[in-house]
Amino acid sequence: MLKDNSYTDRELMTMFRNPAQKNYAFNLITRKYQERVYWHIRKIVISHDDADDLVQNTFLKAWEGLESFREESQLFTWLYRIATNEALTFLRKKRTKFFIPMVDVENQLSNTLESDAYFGGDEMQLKLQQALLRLPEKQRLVFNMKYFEEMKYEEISTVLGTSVGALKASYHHAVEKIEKFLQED
Amino acid sequence: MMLNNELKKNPFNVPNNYFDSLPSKVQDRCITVKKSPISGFIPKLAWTGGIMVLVLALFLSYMNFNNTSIKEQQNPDSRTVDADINDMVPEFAGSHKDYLKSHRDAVVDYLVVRNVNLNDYLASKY
Repeated sequence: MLKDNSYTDRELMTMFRNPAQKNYAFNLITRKYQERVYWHIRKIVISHDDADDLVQNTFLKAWEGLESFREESQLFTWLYRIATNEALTFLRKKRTKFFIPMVDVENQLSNTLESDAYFGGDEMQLKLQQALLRLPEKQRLVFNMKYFEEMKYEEISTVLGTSVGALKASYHHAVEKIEKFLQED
Repeated sequence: MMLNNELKKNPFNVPNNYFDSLPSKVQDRCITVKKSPISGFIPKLAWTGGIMVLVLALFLSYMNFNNTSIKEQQNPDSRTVDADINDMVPEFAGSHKDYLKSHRDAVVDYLVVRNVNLNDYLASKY
């Protein structure tokens, strides 16, 4: 028996299209990508409970859409697109729900960090996360994917539908703002 | 203090065994999932021609989101795409804008989950 993550995406998709193996294949897909998808979402919404809901929603939607998935795309970039959309929609609804301007949700998330039982970072890591929460949403996404996840610009481009040139500029601006914030105090 | 590799360490944690149990939680939800309302919603619109309006308007919305930072950065590469879409949408969206706005989430879900390539789709239609 091969390990879960030793199957290629193509092999997993072939299994998924076989009715007898569909559930098993999807379970393997979940196991293969759950951590990447979870951490991607977690860095956007900060709270573990929210990330837990959203990662489940992401895979649920993947389950519904996987039949029509076209294999010229990479499975993980497609999952990232769903996950990103889920997380951003969640934050947008949160803003709408409480009728508060955008910056307040980010402030709320920043405060959540300090009391979060599942945040184990030191003082500088906390400050970095607070700096990130001050960035425009798009710059925060780009920074997370480039700096923490070390994704290639081409991959980020596929996920966000933005040109590589624009992503490089976005990342550059984000780094400048973050370093300025970290140097304060 | 500058960004360095030390700061790259993931500062977040999860409950013990979280990733061991997540696949079965997902599996349970997949088993009980009912037919998505999107799958019934979109074909009806297709019959009335509304699908084109939805797709184009949501693409505009999506591109606007994607290009927020691009505009800030004055990047000429993607402005071209943006301008093309802006040119196209008023022709199709017309009086449907309020309707589209109220169904935004459903349509974005459809586009993302079905991995619709809008350029290909539009090319096949026009």
